[in-house]
Amino acid sequence: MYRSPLTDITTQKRLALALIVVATLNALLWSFVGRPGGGGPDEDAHFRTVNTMVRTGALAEFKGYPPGKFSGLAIRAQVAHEITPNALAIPVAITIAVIGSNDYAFNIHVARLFMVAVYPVTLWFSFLTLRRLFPDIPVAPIIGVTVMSTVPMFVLVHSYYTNDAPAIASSTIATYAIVRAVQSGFTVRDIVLLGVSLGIVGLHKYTGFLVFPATAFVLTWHFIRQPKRLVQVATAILLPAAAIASWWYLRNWILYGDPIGVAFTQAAVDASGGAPVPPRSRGYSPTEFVEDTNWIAENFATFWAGHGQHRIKLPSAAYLALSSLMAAATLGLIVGVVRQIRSRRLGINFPVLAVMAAMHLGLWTVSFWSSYTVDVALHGRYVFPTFLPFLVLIITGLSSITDWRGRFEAVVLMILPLMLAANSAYFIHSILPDVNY
Amino acid sequence: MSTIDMEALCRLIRCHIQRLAFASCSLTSVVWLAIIAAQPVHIPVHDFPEVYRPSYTQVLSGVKGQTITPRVDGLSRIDIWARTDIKAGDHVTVRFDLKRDILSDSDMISGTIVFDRSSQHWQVRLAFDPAYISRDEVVYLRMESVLSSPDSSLHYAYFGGDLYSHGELLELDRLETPDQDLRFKLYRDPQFPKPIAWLEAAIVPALLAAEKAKGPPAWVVATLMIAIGSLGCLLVLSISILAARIFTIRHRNEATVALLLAITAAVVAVIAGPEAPIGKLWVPLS
Repeated sequence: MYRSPLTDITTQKRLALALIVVATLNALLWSFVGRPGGGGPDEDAHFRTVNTMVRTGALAEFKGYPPGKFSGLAIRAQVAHEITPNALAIPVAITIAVIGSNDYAFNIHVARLFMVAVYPVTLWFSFLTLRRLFPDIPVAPIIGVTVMSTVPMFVLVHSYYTNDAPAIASSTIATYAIVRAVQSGFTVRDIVLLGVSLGIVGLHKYTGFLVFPATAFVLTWHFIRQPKRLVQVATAILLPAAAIASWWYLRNWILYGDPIGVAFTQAAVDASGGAPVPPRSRGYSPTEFVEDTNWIAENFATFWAGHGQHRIKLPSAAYLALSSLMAAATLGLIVGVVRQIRSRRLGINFPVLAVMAAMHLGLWTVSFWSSYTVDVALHGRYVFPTFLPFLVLIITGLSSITDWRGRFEAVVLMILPLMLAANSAYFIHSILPDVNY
Repeated sequence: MSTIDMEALCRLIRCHIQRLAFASCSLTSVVWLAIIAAQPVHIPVHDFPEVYRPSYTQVLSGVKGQTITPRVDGLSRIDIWARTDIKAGDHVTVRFDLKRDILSDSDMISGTIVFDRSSQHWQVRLAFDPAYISRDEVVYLRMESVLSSPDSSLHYAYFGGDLYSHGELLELDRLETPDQDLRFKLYRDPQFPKPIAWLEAAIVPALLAAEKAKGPPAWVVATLMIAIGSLGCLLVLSISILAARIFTIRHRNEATVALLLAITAAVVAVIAGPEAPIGKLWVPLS
């Protein structure tokens, strides 16, 4: 009988750890070569908030936009950086206050180290989650970690200062906590972990917030026949989450009269004058908006790669391969779900799978809607907080049409170094000429 | 022959086929790696970012050229890109001159190439003595083409905007349309012999980028890159051993070596593929 060498937990763990170390060092290298303030989208704007915190010794406060701030630009702000929660900015600011200098470049390189530091956390929790979800496919967690370590845009968001990396990390930890809780039947330990992780999510960028409805869904699914227990567990999860995160929203409420800050920011954007009018307000239909902005292709392209101001993409052959892979996974996913429904055997992972699909596709929907109705911004990285659910869907889909055991597992393993090589090739042939130009 | 004998024979044949497969895989990989290793090493010092898509300009006057000012010493190679549309039996002869003065032919180095078939993706590599050009010295790359028949055509990749501020694209040795540049890539000679030169080629562009980004000192970046490379090699080795264990029970050593070589060859193809001699034309200038 076939037995994968990766069923040995130590081997699997060591391989994953080696990949995580390589990925983290790689992100560190990328952070070293990124132009200060221009390492990635909005780096300068995010770092300005940190600078304010360093200068004033307090959290940055939004004072409105100067006149004509968005005049002539294609996009407008969704939520001001001072209002969007980003708790990791606090230790960043404290560190810069302690060891920083007057040199902008030095400070920004210090700030980037925090982004690099959260990368292994994301990778490790993704590994743990995938290991729990695919115990019969020992290569699955390794593939997941490798994909996360090699997708150029995913590496890039962990190499420049922004609020994306902590949102991804907190959302990934919460996703892990959801999976653990579902599999264990919501033990006290898992309830606490879920509550704390949701609290951390609450203190970071809103793109991670789909874990809240996801938690509500799995709770309801699990305790549908025990309403009293449902209320108890929900309260037990909400209490630590609220204790950790509520102060931020109270602060927003007190300062701006708007806990979330979208309405307040939009009023400020309009007041600055000359800002672009959102497509929906201009009477564009969603179809027209998608066609005019090339929304689908641009999002798909920048999900994988988009370095620098000009969003340098991958070679077209790479996109063709990725599209084929995703088409195969989608087909497999449909086949797998139909099979499960027809056989009336919904496994323990079914609600988890439904949640993963809802989180990932839901975030795409939210990204589209906010782009269409508010800020006109579009970028594939906005859905990165649900990168782990995306991987779960891909692996599940491929599992329906392939057998991961035997030689196929060996071939998959052999592809991993090629993925690392492809990432290096993007760095050498795309990023370095762009930076050195 | 008994059933047992037949089974043993089949096993033996299968065993030999497997060994043969591993041996041919190893051999192919070694040949590929040797081809790449035999290529001369040059350190890239100037390139246009991928985001700028070049256009193609047809050579109608017969002479095009580009002035170049290298920002480093030891420039040893210039790559240019061309397209040819050549009818059967025709050919296009191109003479490349590199000179210090646009109007004078003294102190000039030259090389000639003949295109006798059509292609959309010619990458012409002009290699020359690194002592010929000094840092910040203006040189003129002149490309004079002679078509054997007017039915054939030659086009060079160029940029319609002024993307290279240290030179211009010229027509008939004159500036006809300002703010245009030939698509080219510059390389300098490595400071170390092979195999350290490979390391130099991989590390130097990153060091330059880190310096521009006011990142940490060069030794930190270099150490980091070496650490990533070493860990990457260890990963390749581990994966080869694991994959070999899955592939075969009997010939694990042969399988490990074969897979290690195959993965290494594939990794080299992905990273250093553009340096492979396939589809490239070397033109030594002397």
